[in-house]
Amino acid sequence: MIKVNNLQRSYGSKQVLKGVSFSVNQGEIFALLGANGAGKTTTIECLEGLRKWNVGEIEVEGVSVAKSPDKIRKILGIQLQSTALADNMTAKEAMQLFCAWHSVTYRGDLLERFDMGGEYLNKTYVSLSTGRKRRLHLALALCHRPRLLVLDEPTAGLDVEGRNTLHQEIRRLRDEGVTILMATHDMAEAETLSDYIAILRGGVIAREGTPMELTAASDIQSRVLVKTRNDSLREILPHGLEKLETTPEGYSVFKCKDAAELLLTLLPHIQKHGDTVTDLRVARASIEDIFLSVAGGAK
Amino acid sequence: MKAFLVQLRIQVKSDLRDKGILMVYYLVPLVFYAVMGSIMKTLEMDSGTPLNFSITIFALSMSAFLGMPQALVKARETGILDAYKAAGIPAWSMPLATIVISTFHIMIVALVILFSAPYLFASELPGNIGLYLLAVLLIALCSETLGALLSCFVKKQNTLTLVSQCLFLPTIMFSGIMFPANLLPKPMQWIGEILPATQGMHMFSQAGLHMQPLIILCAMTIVFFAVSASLFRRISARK
Repeated sequence: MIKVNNLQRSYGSKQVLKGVSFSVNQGEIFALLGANGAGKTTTIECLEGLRKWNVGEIEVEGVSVAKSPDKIRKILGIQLQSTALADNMTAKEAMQLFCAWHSVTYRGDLLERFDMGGEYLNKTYVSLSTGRKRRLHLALALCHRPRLLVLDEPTAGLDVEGRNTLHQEIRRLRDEGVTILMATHDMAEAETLSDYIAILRGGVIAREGTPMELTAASDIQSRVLVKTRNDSLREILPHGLEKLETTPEGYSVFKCKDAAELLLTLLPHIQKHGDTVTDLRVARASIEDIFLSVAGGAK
Repeated sequence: MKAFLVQLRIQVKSDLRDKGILMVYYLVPLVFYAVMGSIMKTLEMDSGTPLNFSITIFALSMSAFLGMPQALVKARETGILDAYKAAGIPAWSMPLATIVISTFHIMIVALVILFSAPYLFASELPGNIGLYLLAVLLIALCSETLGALLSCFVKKQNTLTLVSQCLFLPTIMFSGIMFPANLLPKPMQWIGEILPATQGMHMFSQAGLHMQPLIILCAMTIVFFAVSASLFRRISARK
């Protein structure tokens, strides 16, 4: 669906993109992760045809973005990170305007779908909450039935409820066959929502894969927390196991590469000492851990 | 074309909900008209230019320099222009729609002033109303293209509020709207000559329509339009 090859872009003497390459498959949610200033927005603005680049190729459905930006706009729906409409324009008028420029009939159904119908239909843009504005922009981006949706920080500034609602809608769109490219610095959002993740670091894609592939291939160890009734893990431990710490709540904390293997050793030991497990928690390496390790940080 | 007409319709409706626009385009000019008309009638003043014409020039200058550029700078500053571009709405549609709608508001005010002045302030109707309205339209377009040009050089609305006064105040003071321009010191008269309102005042005096200022206004409109369109295009196309 999308092929980005050796994308390079400089701002003055600062080279932000140093050869970004990635592919997005039809019908997947692809998350482009990166810290602030990593070049996520630059990358997707190049893809949208809103920004020029110095070197490289971008193709959407085999069409060159550089050569046919107008053709691309028909395939593409875009929700920008920082966007607005005229203060006194209503949701209905905004939809009428966008549909008119896309030469499609009015899409009231989209406003209904994003809960922007009824009382919100004639509310002015300035009177809408941040969440409603996001929903409206998403509905507007979809008015011409694009096959590819590009979202830049789609849930920035939203509360938990607004985020969840938007996540549901994004999944629903994916299920309907829309390919979604999303730039975000929200690691949890990328992990729960996306099918494929690319981490942008130092102007290149530093790591990529499905969330499961990324966490499985990581060297970062999982943390296993075990609490037992008689505290049998306080002093005596199975041979070869080393405890990291005991928390004030009485949990014994272990670090390991394979949690299942650790538990196979640990549980018989606990039983053998006539003890029982009262609580067990496994904290596996998250995308945030992977991101921090890629970024050179530590968690 | 159909899409542009939809944009015009929606922008007019949206403008009518905007108290700021109603204030700049209608309320202030009409209040100024009422006050100035009363003063001139009471004092039996004669500035050499029909009252309805000078007040109309005040109204259109206010709209062109204080109202219209604000809308364009705001659209760039807040991301409205980016949203339009992302949706494939051409960048030219915004300034063009703003100029067309601003002209629409100005012409309504011009008509209100034109037809009420004879009843309220015993001002005479122009001999040729069609020609009069054409002259107003030309001055409005020239002033608005100058306002659009101004909006290309200023990035922030706050700065624009100050900078636009550099056009509006000389227009009021040097063009002959308030008092005859020939009473001003020569340097001020020279400055005044480069303003659309001054050429408008030269063009349409009580003696009738004059061709030379009309040609100057046309030339100014074309130059302002060409330069502002080119600059706006450059600004809206990201590097």
